[in-house]
Amino acid sequence: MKAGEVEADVLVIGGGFAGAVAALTATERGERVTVISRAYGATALSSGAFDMISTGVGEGAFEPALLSPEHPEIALEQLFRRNPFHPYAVLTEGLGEQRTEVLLGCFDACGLWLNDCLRDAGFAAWGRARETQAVPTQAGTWRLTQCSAESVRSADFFALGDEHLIVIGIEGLAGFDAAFVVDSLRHILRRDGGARGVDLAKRIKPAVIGLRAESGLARMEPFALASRLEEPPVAEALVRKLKALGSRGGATRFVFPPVLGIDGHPVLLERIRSDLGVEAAETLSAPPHSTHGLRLQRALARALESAGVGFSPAAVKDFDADSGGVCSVQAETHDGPMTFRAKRFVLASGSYLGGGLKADPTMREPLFSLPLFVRGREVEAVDIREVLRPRFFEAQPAFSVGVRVDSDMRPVDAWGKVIYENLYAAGSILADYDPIAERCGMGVALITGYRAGGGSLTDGPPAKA
Amino acid sequence: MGLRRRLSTYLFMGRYYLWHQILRLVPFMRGTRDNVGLFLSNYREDNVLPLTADERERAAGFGRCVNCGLCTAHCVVARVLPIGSLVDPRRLALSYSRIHTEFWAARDVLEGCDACVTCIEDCPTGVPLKEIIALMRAKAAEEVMTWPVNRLDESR
Repeated sequence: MKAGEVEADVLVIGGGFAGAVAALTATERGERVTVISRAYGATALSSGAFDMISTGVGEGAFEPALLSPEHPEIALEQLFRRNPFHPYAVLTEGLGEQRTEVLLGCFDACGLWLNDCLRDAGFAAWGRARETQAVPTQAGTWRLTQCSAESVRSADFFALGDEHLIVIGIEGLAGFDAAFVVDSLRHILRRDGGARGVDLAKRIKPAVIGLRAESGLARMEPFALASRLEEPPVAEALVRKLKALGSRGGATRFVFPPVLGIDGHPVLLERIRSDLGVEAAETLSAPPHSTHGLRLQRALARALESAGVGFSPAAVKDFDADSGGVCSVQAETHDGPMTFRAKRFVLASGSYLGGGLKADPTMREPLFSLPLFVRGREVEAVDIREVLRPRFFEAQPAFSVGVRVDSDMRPVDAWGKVIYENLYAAGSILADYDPIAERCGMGVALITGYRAGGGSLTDGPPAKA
Repeated sequence: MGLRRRLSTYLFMGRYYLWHQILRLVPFMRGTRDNVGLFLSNYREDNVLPLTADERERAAGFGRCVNCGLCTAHCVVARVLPIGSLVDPRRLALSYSRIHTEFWAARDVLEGCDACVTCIEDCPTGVPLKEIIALMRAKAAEEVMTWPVNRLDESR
């Protein structure tokens, strides 16, 4: 091995969610893994909900009925019928009748395993594919999802008993108005939540506390406040003000905007729980100040580090390939150009925001010049008017443009022939799924990342003790 | 517009156009006034400053911002400092094209940026944030404050 060369068994290109899952899976299998990542990527924009599939009733419903979410099995069957090129469908080709069963099982197993990997790194999420949750968002809607960050999950509508909820607003905090959030949550509960919803609507109240002086912030930006709240005196002030509230509110659960610390959030949540005897929950967050996403992204980096995965911030410039597949990639690091050799390569470079796809103005995959597909057809052959629709809220096929793969997650060309024997793709660079309309972004990233990392779909990863 | 009014407009314009050409051709009639300077000084107090051709060319790169917010997510400065509305790197690209006259209000913010270039690495569309900050710093230094910064703080 020469200077400026790195050798590994598996080289993962992209350090986002799918890339990290692939890297952790391969490490678990005893392979030496290196991750190269150009930038932090779009993981920091994720909301804290880990969707597998939209279980909202009816297609494109923005506020689905709270009481009767669809069964994920039915949603998946519909998805397979509607979109045979969806990554879920491609993954489970040849499994026949069992495909939904296998997918749901895989989501649960991967979720449990990843949770074990991330718990020590300071992030926890909880969920089961078959147990839909309804968690509040920062904008005051109830969001149906399969899995959510642990701090969010304790405000799950389906898991709430006779708790009294107090939505805590923080004076001057940008993007969160407690009174508005409560009004909106109540409205949806009464309209869609049935008798339980009407009942719960009576037990949600807003309250506002001021932290301006204690935090010393002129402008309450969510990230700034979150990092200030990790400082003991500011956390102390928060607890003091909550105590003053608790004595008259009779609350049994607080719902906060997602600002309770960044890396230190488990400590602060535990502190509120132990000092006040009240469970604390957060709402989901929204970009660009998506606290849950930032926590996840930082936890992933720490998990990779503690798993012994090599990480190098580098931008891939070029690659070498022979008949056996990709041999090496050349990348530009802070210390100049480097060559990375590996037996297998996982391309998890993301979509437009992650930099894995370029639209300048024609859509292309910049690293390996892989052919891109949309709805089963090569994107070059499709009229641009089919890809970019004129109406804003229409499903935009441009966001489903991506790389087509075989069931082993290897990119294929228009004839279904594998392009490079040892190149695998995972995450949002894959074609024909719409993380917004179908609400399956995190699920696809998790399962395809796991599969591209070498995991087997039918026997999931071993849950750690 | 009636024919008469149109004709009189053209005559009026023609008269001043002729006068302008005579002034151009006959140097001594121009006098010693710095007309360009005078023109610019009229806008000076409103902080409307001329852009060079080079700056205008760069402005095209600033238009690539899609407001995704990735730069904000990792900006150390935005997370720590209690600062004004221009701090957020996400807003820099937009503000460069919108409020040229009020860069002075962000002087301390622009000084706060420690040029770690995380935002530039993160940007999916390659907005030249470093250049934006450099240009905004230069412009902010040239501009005059049009009202006390304190008042701005109080209003928040």
